[in-house]
Amino acid sequence: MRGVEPLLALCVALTALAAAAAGAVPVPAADAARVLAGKLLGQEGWLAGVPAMSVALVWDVRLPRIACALAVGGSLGLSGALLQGVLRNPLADSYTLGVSAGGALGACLCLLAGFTGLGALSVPAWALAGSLGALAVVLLMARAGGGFDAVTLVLAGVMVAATLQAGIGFVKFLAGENVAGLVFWLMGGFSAKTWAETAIAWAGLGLALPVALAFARDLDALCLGDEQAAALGVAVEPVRLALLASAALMTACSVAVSGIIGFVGLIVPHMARMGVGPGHLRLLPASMLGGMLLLLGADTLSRAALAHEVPVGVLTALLGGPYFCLLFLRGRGGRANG
Amino acid sequence: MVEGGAERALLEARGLTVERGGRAVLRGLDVALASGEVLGVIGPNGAGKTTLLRCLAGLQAPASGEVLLEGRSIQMVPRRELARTVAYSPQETEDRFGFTVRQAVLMGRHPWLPRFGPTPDEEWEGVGAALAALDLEGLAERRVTELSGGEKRRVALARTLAQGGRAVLLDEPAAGLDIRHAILALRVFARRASRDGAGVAVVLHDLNLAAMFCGRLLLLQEGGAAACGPVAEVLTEENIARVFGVRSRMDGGHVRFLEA
Repeated sequence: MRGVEPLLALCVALTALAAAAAGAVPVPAADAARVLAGKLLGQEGWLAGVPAMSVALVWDVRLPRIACALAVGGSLGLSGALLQGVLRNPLADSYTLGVSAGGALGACLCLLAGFTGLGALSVPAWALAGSLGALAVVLLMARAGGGFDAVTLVLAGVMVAATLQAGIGFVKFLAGENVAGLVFWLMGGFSAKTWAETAIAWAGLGLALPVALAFARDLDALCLGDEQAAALGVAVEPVRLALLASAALMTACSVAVSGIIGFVGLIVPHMARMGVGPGHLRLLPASMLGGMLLLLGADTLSRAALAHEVPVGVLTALLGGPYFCLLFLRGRGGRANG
Repeated sequence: MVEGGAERALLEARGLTVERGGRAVLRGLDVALASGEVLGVIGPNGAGKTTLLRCLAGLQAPASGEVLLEGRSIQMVPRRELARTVAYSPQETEDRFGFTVRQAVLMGRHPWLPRFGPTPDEEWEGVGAALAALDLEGLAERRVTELSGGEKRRVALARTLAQGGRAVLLDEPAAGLDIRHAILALRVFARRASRDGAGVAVVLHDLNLAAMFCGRLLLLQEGGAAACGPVAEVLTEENIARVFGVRSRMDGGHVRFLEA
């Protein structure tokens, strides 16, 4: 049990290396390693002897995509663990509070109207605005509807998400024969990611991770119920809002750059709990690493091993759904015996 | 016990009034908890016992009146310091995600634990002592989600014991416990008062347990004090008939109910 996190980190690094090497045009793993190490450590000399084409392929084409998948996977894993803890709900995930639906509606509106004021970042910007706007509405509704307790928040999230989904359907209808672009965006994926988009995803993760770790023990106490947590000195509502905002920011940045990638935020925290237990000091970093590993692995599999690249959001849902059913059935069996 | 007119109580409620849904739950209640005593809070359902404890724990702000912790308004005490000084065990707690008993009791040390970094060894030792005190050593590595209701209750009590504090507030600690563990738990917290000098306030429904372990009793009725003082003065046939509407006979310091 002790060594799970270093092992996960090692797997993430090895998968990144494999992802840099694998693809339609394979690059020898040794060359890929030299390019990554040389560029990252500023030792251009190490690149001697590697074909220029391989350098470009690894550094300019594959690395942004790898970095993006890592940031989004980490964000979804971490935000899923945060939301499950904050809402005391093992079925919560990164998208529970309508953040994904808001982002999707923003992106669809942008695609429909053809806004290109921010160049390649137009869609991400609209998605980000939509996600954060949806979260704001959820929080306002929860406050008006009784407070920031777990049940009220989930209820408000479900209502807002349903409304936004209807909005997405309407935008799709308006798009008519141009609907393909919208649908493809909604499926979620990492093809042709730029460094600018990658930076958005890493910014979300970078801002949220310190907040999450700072309140990890408070999150443990919150699992005992608001009353007990307050008696233990936890600032229940401020902590819950800070963690929700962190999770939503990460999710919003992820949705903005890669669309909606389902099941990672739901499943990864459950798998991490099996490895390191429910304590959030270990669960949060493990969920982040697990999300990185799962999403980068799935993206690389889809890109390099399948005859036709399947959008990674579709792949994670295809693999994640049945896996979650398995978890559910095993959990039920255990509880029946307990 | 404290000197005759203890000038400064550990916890003191003055003119406490709390309203909920337009109804007064507490009506101008005055009560003081001294160091080293066990104060039992008894009364019918809805008399305001839990609300009183929540006010004393600083979790509920009264509509009027105030709660003083060692002479200071409790609303002004910083959260972490308050949690180190006043340990409160609510009537109900939740359990999710399969924490082990040991981990769940460690959370009682929350106000003492560092925000980052691993749990110091001496904290685990304190947790071990609390587990032993509530007869939980054999269950230490079990998941709380797998325990029975009474076992979960003991885990929550061990957590409150581990929290420490100069004041301890227990809301129905004996609910759901078998008689051996009820007596064990109350003895553990009575010792916190007699040995460590903590002030302990405990809501109890079992009047005989209250008579066994409490030095003083506060009998609540509709948000006010129907009686308050030494056990023998509060637990009388008249008071029990007046407040609970149950006939009884006092028998060597114990209550015998005559309704059956």
